[in-house]
Amino acid sequence: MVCLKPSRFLVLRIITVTSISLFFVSAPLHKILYGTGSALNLGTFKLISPLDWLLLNLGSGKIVLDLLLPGLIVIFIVIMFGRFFCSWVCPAGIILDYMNRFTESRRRISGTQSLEKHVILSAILLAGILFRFTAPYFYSPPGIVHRILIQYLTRGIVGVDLAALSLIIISNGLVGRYGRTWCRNICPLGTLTGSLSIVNLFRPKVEIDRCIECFRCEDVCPMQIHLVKSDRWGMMSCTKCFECLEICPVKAVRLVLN
Amino acid sequence: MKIFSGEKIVRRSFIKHLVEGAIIIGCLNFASTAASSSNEPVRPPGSVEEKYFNLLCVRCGICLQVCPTGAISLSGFEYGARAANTPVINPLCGPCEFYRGRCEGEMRCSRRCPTGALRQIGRDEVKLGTVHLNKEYCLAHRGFECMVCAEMCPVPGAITVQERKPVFNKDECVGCGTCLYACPAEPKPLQLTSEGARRIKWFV
Amino acid sequence: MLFTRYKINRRDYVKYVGISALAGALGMFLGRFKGWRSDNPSPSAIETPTQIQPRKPSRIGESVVSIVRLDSDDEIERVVRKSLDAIGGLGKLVSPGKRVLVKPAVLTSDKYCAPDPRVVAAVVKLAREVGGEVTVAESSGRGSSTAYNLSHVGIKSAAEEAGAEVKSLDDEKPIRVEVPSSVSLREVLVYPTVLNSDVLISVPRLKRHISTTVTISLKNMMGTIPNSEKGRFHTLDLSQSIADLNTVIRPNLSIIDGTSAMVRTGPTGGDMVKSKIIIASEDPVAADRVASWKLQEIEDEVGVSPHHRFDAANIRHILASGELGVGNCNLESIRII
Repeated sequence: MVCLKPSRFLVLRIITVTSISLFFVSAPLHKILYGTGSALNLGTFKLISPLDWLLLNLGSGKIVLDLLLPGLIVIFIVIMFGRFFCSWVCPAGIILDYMNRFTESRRRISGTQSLEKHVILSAILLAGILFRFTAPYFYSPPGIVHRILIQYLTRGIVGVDLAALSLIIISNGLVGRYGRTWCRNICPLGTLTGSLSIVNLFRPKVEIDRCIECFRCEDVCPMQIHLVKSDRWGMMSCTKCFECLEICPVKAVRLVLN
Repeated sequence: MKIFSGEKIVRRSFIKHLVEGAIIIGCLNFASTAASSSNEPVRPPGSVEEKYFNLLCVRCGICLQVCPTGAISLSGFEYGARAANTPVINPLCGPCEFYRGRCEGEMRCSRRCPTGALRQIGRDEVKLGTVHLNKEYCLAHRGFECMVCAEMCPVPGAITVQERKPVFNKDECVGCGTCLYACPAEPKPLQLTSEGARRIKWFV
Repeated sequence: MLFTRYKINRRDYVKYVGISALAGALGMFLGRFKGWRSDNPSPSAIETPTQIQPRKPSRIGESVVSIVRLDSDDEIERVVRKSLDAIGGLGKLVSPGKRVLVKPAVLTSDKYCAPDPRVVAAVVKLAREVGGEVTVAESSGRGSSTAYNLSHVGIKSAAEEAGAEVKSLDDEKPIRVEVPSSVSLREVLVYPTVLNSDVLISVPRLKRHISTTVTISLKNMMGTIPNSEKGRFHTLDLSQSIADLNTVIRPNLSIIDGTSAMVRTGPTGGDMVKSKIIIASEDPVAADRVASWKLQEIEDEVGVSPHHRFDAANIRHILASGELGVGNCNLESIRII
């Protein structure tokens, strides 16, 4: 069993994710912002997660006008800043990071591409168009965990969402032996945001001159990206956890703005 | 795109992926029609027609958070896979106070719904459903001095009294569930169904 | 397929599944917990039954009931003061430092169902004048929020302005009380604020009732028990249970708001009539008896159809209370001034 010392970014991420979740759950007390990871409502200002927005428009066959702007705003943020939600907002991600501690020493498979996630995403979108079936059970893991917390703390009940979360965790264990298999290979929301992160500011880049090719960054990357190659398109699935920054012994990994 | 040109995608693996995708779509199709029941759930006030409600609702849970009485909860699979995890009114947990009470001026759930599955409409246009009485379990019909349903009903004329027994007027009833929640009989003789519920027609 | 790419270690897989299953099971088990928002918390009462001495009537034999007319709503305070002075004044019951509980009848957020906030404010003011520490408390009907009702009806602001502490009884843990001289109740759960007060003043509205014919001072005491108990009364003999309850929770003073009365039916949905009277008495049964008689007269004057009329001499819970010694239900033993 590989026991990983929690890096300072992991601690920061845990604090951020927990604060955001508690903020959502305690909405009836502060009444500022209501919502979960699926959709937010701050009076007239709304936000909606990209996959939910896409399915909404496809499934109903019409363009929902009053959600056009909220959906596009979030998509714009994703285009600019990439998949940062996966590390900094999604509580399922933190749970899976914790599960990471139980995996055996990983075989490095960084750089290999998986097409499964695109297949899953396309199947979901097609099902939305063909059968008008958009039931978002696993599509929005942050929404799932937030709903579990809200339902339990305000009503004392557990519902469909706990089963969905259990399935996420089980499938994470079944498919791979490295950290966040779900996030890398299955999660539809993650796949969509990954495919949209075209500009992708603040992505890590390895300076070839300083790199000693120890590959520790690739070992620790939860998305198993071939960091040393620092290919821009490979970086699209980067979730900005910054573990690679932490672990590099010669500080060869830097953040890049374009 | 890069992912296709940088690797050797062999025809066999391509077909394998296609088959995987088809199987997933098949499963989703099965799920979408599985256990779809004909009875519609009782939705919070201001909901659009059922077909579009399940599409518009992103299960954000905001309506559940703002409901002051706890009437709204998220359904399981009892109304089908399409309507799973959507808000339904369960008057056993609390009455919907849209007619009289904490939500009287504005319906909080409809105001906060981000996607428009629930919309703000006037109080008098709302009908969530109808309450049905099972006379076997009703205390008044069994001879006890009980008229709590008629006492607490906020709608004038929905519950009238004949010979010390309550009579439920289906046309006047707005389906708030106050009578159901207040009824002291065990087991409860009242049931809230979606009969007569008024839904909003959805345009874009 | 998806799962053939890597083989997972059996030990790890078992760990994963075990933890997820445990989480699910824990969630199901804890799901029985109600959560922090509940209108009707189940009364987890203290188990030892408490012996409460029923408050004895201060004058056995003859009861005095005062009826005062008022011409306009501006003189509410003056009329309340006059009606109390006629039966001996508040100073007889309340001395400096005594805890006074004013119990208005607030069933729902309907303001005609509840007493006029000015009447409640007047009672609070008069009680404070003689030195009492006044609390206004209530537990509303099953299915509504007491706190919301008290503020929506206007009683919360009026009472706080007059200097009382307003509270909703639903937040408290009820105490089990034995009912010694009972016919249908043997014990009842009551909120501690009611039991800890020195003087209990019942301030109801003059109303008809669908089940018990009228709901005035005696029925008002149902607002001192938790919602589950209110429901339980209906599964027993309601009128008799009200009488039994009043043997342990007997109001020391009843001030009935008759500025407007609800006729034909009640406690919701009836017709409001401007009856312009205030009735007061230390004997709740006598107060109820006289008030029902006045209500009958009002229905006569207004012309309520005979189909809805009632007989004031034959109201079950008033007669039952009289029999149990809570007060005088016989008009001969009542002096009206």
